[in-house]
Amino acid sequence: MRRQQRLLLLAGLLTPFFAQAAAVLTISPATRSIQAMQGNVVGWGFTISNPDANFLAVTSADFCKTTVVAGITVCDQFPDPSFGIFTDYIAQFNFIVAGPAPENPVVSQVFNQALLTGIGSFAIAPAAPFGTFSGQILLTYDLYSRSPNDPLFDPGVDLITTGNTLTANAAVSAIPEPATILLVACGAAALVLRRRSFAGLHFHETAREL
Amino acid sequence: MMIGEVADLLIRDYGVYNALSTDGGGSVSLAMEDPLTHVRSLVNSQSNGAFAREVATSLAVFASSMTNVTHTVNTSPSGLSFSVDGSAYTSAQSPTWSYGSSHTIATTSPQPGPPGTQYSFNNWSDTGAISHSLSGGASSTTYTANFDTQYQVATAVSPAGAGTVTPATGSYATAGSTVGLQAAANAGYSFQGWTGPVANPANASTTATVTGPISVTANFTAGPTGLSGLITGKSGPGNARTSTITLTNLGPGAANAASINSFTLTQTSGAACTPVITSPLPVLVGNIMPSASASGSVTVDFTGCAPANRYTVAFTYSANAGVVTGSKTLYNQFQ
Repeated sequence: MRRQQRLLLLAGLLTPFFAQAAAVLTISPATRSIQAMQGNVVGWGFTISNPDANFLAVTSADFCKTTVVAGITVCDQFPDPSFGIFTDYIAQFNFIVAGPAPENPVVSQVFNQALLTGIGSFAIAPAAPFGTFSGQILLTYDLYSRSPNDPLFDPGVDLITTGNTLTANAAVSAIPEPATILLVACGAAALVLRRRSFAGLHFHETAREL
Repeated sequence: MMIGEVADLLIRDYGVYNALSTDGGGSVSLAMEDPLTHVRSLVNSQSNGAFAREVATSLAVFASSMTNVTHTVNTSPSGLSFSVDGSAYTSAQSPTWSYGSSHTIATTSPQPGPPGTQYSFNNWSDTGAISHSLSGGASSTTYTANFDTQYQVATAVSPAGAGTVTPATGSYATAGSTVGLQAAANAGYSFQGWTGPVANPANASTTATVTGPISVTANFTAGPTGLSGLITGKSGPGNARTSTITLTNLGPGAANAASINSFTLTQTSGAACTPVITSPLPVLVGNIMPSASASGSVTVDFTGCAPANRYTVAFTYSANAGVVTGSKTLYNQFQ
């Protein structure tokens, strides 16, 4: 009896995990955080894993701070345009479908600005304040029972759900140019040297007075 | 007092014009009947105690009972309903009651008046209850049901659902009295002010003097907020394909009269066709409380379009009279 209860309890605990073990979004680089100088364009690659029997079609991507409201994951705060602007690559310039054969359950792309691949790009403003915007990549997708690439595909019949979301943490940091860093370092060194020489001169003058 | 003096007194002070004198001794007995109980009893003391004389001479005097006394029953203000012995009236009545007879006068409260006015029972002039019995008196009496005039206090909230007001609309207050008013904002709104005859329009807690029917409105304004939009469902045949657009209020303010203002489709694959948006825009979604969502529908006729055609869908939305706006673009959309 106790063993049955334990099994039931274990099944109850595991059920949510199995139920939620659907699509997963991972982004690259692995640190999920990108540092770049002002005026640069950076971006993220991605891997979408969809082990289910359904077909996942990506419909949009955003870079923002997300929150869950009324059961829906939404963007709560976007980066200030004075810091930079995100551009959706994965849905705007690609048609990503992840699922069973003939599709692939795992789809990956590296970020390439020229080829417009990856999740998307983030153009750091030329005068962006130095700092970091930490948020999430928010992906929306629709699920179909038949691949949208199948000649027999009919969205009126094959659509399962729409407006689904996936998230992955991501961050962008605007950092100074190396030349700026070097200049600041030189300035600091000069300041230190000047203080030292001033202290030495003061010592000599004091000794002469004595 | 001598017999002559008694005669003078009766003639002068009581108007007696015909009197009879007995022997004036202790042998006279005077018995009277109570007009209410009809019980007869000896009312004087004989000189020889309770023993009557063996040979008696009786003189009986009969008087008719006191009937047909006319009274008045009415209301103040006049014209209100009342009843006398179960019969209803709305104008003054003059019933004739015999002395000592039992009757019931009654009224109801409150009674309606002109629009926004009612009358509330205060008292009967004889201090009886709203419905009470009385005994017909020997003299004419006026029985008046006194009412207090009351005026309706109509309260409202703008925009609807933005808050609450006490007292609730439709209550009545006595003419000339001062009624307290209290406005409370719902989540996502803040109090803006009163419109109507209130003492302090800028204060959520104020008063109004009731000199007639009054109508006051508590005005609220939605706090700062943000909206997010997403297509969360599609249904229906190709010639009437409906997209459900869910707007989510990010708070902390309310999103009042949220609406979907535009909806466009740009075809990105397949043979060219012309989907027709058949829903009139804007689509009113309604008021959305903070951290809540609400949906609206946009229907598109995809007649002549291949099912595999892909589109980019862009829609815009707003709330709080355009103070809050937003847009969403979804790619790789099918009908």
